[in-house]
Amino acid sequence: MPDSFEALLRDALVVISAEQPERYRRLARTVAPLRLSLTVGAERMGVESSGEMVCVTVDVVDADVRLVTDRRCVLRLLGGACSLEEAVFSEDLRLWGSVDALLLFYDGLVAFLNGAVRSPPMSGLLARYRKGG
Amino acid sequence: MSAIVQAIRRSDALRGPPLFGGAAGHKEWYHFCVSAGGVELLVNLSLVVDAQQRQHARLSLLAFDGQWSGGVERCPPESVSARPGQIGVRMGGSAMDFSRGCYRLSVHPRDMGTTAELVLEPAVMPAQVNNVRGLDGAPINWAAVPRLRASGWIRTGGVTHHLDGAPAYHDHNWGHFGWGRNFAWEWGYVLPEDLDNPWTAVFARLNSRGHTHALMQLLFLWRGTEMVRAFRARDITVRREGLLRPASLLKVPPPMALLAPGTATDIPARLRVDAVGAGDVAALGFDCGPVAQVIIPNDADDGVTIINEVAGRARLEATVRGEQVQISGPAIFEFLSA
Repeated sequence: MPDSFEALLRDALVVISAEQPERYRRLARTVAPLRLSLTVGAERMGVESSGEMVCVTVDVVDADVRLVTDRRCVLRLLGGACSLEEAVFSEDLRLWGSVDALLLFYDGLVAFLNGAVRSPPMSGLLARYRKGG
Repeated sequence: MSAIVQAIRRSDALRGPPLFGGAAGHKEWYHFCVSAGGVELLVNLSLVVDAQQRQHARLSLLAFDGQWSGGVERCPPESVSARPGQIGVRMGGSAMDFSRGCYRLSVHPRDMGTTAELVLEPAVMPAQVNNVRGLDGAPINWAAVPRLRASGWIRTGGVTHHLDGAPAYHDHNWGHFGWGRNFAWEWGYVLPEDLDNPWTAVFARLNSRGHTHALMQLLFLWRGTEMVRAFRARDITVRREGLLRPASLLKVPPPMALLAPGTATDIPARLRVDAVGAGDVAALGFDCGPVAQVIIPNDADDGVTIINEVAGRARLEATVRGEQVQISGPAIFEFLSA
């Protein structure tokens, strides 16, 4: 399903590793201590890092951080219609985890975004995701 | 060919690295602002060569009709036509060229809700300022044609605005400077609403990134087609008064808002520029209004550079060679933030 969030995430990680290898390594190191569970609408997936490579996996049990949202919220975030903070406060995006784990997750998210915005192929991936669904 | 057209042909050609695609880090853009009564339009056609020697073309389009709208369109390389030595560029569905003594601007991005077809006739001689250095890195070069007469149409928000000689501003920047280096600029123009008023003014200043050190500052005045007064350096005192506290901001491209959230800015509420020299005086004021932010990832670190496009009203009062000068009109001033 090329327009799924999981496909977007997998392809984005490949793009960032090729375009921004330093930032990809930083992302991998940052989230290495975490087991992440992501739910976007009906899609459920896990994210794990060896410290050198970040992989999208089947959903993990006993995740350190669990994120639940939907496609509409993802599109609003990408379109600038709401901030991450607003999405959390409106409960369109919900997070569970210890404070330390959530802070690491946020650092990982920022590392991911810093790699993504400096990777020209990302605009094509985002366009594909926006068209889907 | 008029003297203005000759001067523009000498100063405004696309520099570009050889054959566009050469020297990594080259940046260059053509910038236009048009004041069409009910709408202010900003068009920026930008060409960049990245560290991997790949060329990127982006159209930034912003319209202000009481509120800002617009975006940034990344145009695929196969849609780009740009030849160093010639004035103009084509990218995506948009293009700019210079022919029969006028700039011709055709703006048709996808999915932005704003399009335009404009012919801009230069009304003043261009000015060029080369090799403006920040505290580190390579210099910025700048050529400006600060007053043009714009005719054609702008369609935005479902409304078509027809223009016949509307005031407009144009400039052109190029160089190998890196976003995130130790510089920040402030600039703006004052174009009279009264089209019979012969005076035009431009202000520009390059600061250190924290605005603690002024590296270059200028206030140029034209009367008719000629620049008749150039205040520089110690002639000029700049005051940033108050702090703008916008309730909302347009941020483009939208995903960059995830890395630069919130509405806090370091834009002043008012900018005041006073210049004195050789018996002449000038006072420029700009009241800052609604803001659109063009957010650019830094080249060398994880920060961002924010180009604040600020709609507002500019006015200038001066005495030049004994002549009283008054200009006022809507304008878009630009403030760079870290």
